[in-house]
Amino acid sequence: MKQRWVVLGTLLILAVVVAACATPTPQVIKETVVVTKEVEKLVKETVVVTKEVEKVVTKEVEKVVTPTPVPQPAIFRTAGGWDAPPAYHGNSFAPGGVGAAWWWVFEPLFYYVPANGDIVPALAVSFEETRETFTAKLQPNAVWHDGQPFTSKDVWATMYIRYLQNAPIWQFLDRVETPDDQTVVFYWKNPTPFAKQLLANELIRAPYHLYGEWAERVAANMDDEAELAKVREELSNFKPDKPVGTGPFVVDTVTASEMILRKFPQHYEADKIAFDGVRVLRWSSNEVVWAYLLADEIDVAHPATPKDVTDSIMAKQPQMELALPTDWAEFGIVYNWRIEPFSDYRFRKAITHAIDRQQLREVTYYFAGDVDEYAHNILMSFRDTWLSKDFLDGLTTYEYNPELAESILQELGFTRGDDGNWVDPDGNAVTFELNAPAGYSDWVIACDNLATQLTNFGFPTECRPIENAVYWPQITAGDYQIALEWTAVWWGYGHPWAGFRRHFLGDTAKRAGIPAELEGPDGTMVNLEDLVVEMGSTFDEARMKELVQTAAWISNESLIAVPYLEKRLMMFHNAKRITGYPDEDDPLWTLGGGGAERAYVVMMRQGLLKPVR
Amino acid sequence: MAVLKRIAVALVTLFFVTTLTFFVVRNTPGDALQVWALEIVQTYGISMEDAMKQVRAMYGYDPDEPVLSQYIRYVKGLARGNLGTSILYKSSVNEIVFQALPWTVFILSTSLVLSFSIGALLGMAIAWKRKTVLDPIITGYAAITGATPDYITALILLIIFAINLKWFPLKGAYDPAVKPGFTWEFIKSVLYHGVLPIAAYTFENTAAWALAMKGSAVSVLGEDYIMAAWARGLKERRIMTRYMGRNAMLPLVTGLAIAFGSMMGGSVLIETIFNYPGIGWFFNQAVARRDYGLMQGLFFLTAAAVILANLIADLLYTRLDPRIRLEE
Amino acid sequence: MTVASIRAESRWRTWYATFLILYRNKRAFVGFLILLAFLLMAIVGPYLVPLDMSARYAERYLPPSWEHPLGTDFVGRDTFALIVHGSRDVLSIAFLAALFTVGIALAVGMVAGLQGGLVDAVLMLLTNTVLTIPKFPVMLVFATVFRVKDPFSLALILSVWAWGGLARAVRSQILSLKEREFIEAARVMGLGLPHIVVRELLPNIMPYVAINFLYIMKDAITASVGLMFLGIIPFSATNWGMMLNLATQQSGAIYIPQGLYYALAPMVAIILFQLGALFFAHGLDEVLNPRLRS
Repeated sequence: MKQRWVVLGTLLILAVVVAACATPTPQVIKETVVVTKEVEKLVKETVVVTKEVEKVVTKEVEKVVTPTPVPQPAIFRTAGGWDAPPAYHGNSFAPGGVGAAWWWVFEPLFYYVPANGDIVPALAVSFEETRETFTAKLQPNAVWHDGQPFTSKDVWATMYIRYLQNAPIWQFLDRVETPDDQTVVFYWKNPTPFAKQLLANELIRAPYHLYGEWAERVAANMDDEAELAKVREELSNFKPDKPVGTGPFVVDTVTASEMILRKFPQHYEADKIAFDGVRVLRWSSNEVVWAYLLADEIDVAHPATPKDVTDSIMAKQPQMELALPTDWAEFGIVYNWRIEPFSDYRFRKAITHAIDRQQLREVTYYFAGDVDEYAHNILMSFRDTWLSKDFLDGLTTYEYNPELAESILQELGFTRGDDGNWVDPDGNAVTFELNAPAGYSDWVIACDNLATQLTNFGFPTECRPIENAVYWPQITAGDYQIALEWTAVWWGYGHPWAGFRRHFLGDTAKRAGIPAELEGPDGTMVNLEDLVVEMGSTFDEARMKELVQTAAWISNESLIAVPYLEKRLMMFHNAKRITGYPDEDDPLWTLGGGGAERAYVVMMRQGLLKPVR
Repeated sequence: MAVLKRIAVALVTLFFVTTLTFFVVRNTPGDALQVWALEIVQTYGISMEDAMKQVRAMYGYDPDEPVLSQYIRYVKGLARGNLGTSILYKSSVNEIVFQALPWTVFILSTSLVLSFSIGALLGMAIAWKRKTVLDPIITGYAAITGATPDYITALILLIIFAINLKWFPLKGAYDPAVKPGFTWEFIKSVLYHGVLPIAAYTFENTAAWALAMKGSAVSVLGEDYIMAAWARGLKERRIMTRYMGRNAMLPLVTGLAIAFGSMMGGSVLIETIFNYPGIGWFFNQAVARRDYGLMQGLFFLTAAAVILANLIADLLYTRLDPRIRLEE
Repeated sequence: MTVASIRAESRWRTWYATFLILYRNKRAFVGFLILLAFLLMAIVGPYLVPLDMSARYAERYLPPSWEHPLGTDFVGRDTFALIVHGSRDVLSIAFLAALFTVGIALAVGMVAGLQGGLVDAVLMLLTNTVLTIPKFPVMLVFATVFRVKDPFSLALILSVWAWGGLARAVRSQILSLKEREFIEAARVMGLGLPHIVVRELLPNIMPYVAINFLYIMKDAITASVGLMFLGIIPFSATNWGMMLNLATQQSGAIYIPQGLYYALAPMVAIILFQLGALFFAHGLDEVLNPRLRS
């Protein structure tokens, strides 16, 4: 007996010692500010700041143990993801880099508010636009986190490294020139109406003094794929401990469970930033983030949350508010045109009438936006900007109407068998398999609900979720009957062009298996590629509207994909410790789609967000 | 000689398993790039097409290299103690394992030892005194923990002790304000942060060990040597631990060995609920993103650990049960 | 009276005696009743309780009432009906999976333990392979090849990867048992291998195997959820494991007081089933192992 306890105790002690001796997982990055001799003075200041933040952090952590209502330093607390140390590093061009620090440490030339086209200047103080060029005057007071001044060469280096990454801007861009330290000129080879969107997506994240050598090699060998591959390889092996940006916050500490950023005092808008730091807790799963919100462990987060959990978060944190900006995409249903009976438009129409799309939305993602009775592939939030009421009235509707569905099916020769289920004209029972990506609860629950709806209507349908990485290529290859798919995808552009590109030429087109030409509103066949290309290059607003309407008409009348909800970002923000959030319908919130932190960083820079003192 | 033979068999098994795993991993279906691109789209606000291009450029796997030459390179590396390279992170699997594994081992081995010893003692007790109230209590406890996913147990512990009572920290392996090192402050922080994960794991697994021990002990109870021990007038306690316990432990040792071995795979529970920086996170990441290099390295590690643990268990039998001889 | 009828009667008597022992052992009898109830639920339940899978969002998370004895789930379906309709699949898959797993494990473990030598080495190589080959990629390969629907093949898939641990445990027990006096005695007496296996070895490892049988059943319920997310089997909202998964991870039911019933229902079903089986096994021990009865 005694012996056993001795053994047990020894094991325990051993385990503890092993854990303690192990190289600690976090890459503690306090000392890693890249110091260069010229700026010793600056660096000394930085070090002082680090020490302050250390104190700051200690106090903040104590708070967890003994709750004090208002902690002294103003820390903005959120949740996010990053690659756990030792994989974590600061090279934004290689896997494992930067993570949740992204929008806090890097800045674009300017932010673009997609809802209203507003520009929020950042690294560019002003710009001039012509059809062929885009000239930006840079912020003279911007400084890199390691103390180096920010110049036009840094923008140049970033753009050429992005060439290496096949960035889409290079489909339009010819070259970038730097007439002086404060001026950058972008020359377009294919003039595009989306210049501002494209540039706003490009964060300036390759300081010339770190990445310049690679950028030069790219610029000198733009057609030499072998040399580019070599640069790519070298670049992905570059692993600084933490990112060097120009943004208002600097990465301080990264562990597996949290990331701590401190304010960058030399930032040109530092006087407007009212926070001493940002603390990011790891977003391991939505359920854990709900727990954080319930416990007031974080101020903001944007987990997709069922209605009742949302209610309980709101009840527990009375000052919690919820903004619901669009997430720039809709969830939809896609039928496989390659196989019968889906190859027949009338069958697609019939089955669509049998689907209660509002119920799908309600059951799977309560706070998502409802869609209308069409399938025009225009994001619902922006429907009225692009489609007039008259236009919509001319479109075929696909409202929930089982009787109509029934009569169309009968016209097609379908009959109901003895068990009430449908039998096709050849006398065969009709059963379907519905696929959805496993791992996302909203997709899986939608899959179950839709299968039930179709089964109840008389098409026995089985829901079969498929592992994520297998699902998408499988449906792209056309190996399915009915599947769930993203529709009206406006990511990165906030413009219908992006949606139709995917719909007519990209993933959705491949998945549905549509032909290269479809019938247009005037009865002639329209080449879809031509349509998309023209939409992506016209500067004529009237023509743009016309093209968008044609595309919407084709999409609706041939029923390529049926949307059932508009995805919205559930941006929870607690006003208990932080004030100044804009109203929930303020366009600034739309910056959150595709980067929730982007919305908060812009609100801070505009001096809106303030800690409650 | 017998021992050497066993070791040789274990090595052959390991080689066999490694080879099989290599080809299974290389043939895992699925294109992870789409999933990864979607993640990038949603965090960095770029279009899907852009994200796909970016991801392709970052994914350092050369699918054109013949599988056989990849295999030979991999096995050669293993022979030199090199677990391979993560094609995603471009860093050696050894380094990742070296940093992440100690945390997993710390939590899981502590909980395993705790739950096994408590469970085995309880199991012995209820096998010994079958009419006491302890038996139905343990049975009920086993039924409850058997039906509650460890996920829920962990979440409930977290909600009660970390969120409501604030007795223990919510997440992480230690306080980020404490500098890691061999200091009392750091060790204290590690222990403090380890309490909840260890408690969750131990709570979940103790009953299963108790029941297994009881099942095993019951079959031993009827043995003649137990009768003989009674006849010799030995003390009850001695019969229970020495005669029944030791013999009943035998089949459990196998289970324990396998549990220790598969521990190297990490625990999703600990990684997700408690945000613990263990190996499971890398495992999930590797599989989800089809990082073949990392997958292989980690699978090899698990396989090696299980096989080693089994070998040790085999050798242990002879000590626990002198009747078994290693076959020549 | 014919010989056959005498035999029949004596057999009936044996059954009756067994039943009496069970009946006298309170705990075992309770277990027996619980299992009987589950069996009835699986066999006749679906005919008595109608199941409507349609969503009624406004009626979600209702507390228990006459109309909904266990309340409703996150889209307003009757939880009791879900549990009842799920029971047949859940229990048959779990039972079959456990049967196959234990069957393979016993066969491999016993043959390896009894034969030793090369046979043992080969079987253990196989066992170690099953224990260490990564399940996830293999299952993904499976998923692209098979689309399983019937409980039989599903149970087979579940058991193919589950028998390793038990097989090793059985082997180690056989290794110990085969050196014991009573086995030696049986050998000396010239009793055949079948006799030794059935009469001497099996009864000795049965209690341990029985407990494992139960745990394998429980694991099969959880594991089938995993198979659903891989696409090997279709999604089923009536599978208890899936209900538990939906309640705790997908729909957030455990975060809200009104969701408690939905989260508890599948959990309690599994708990009750396990309790029944454990209590019953406890009684069986005493029936099969007469030395314990005193």
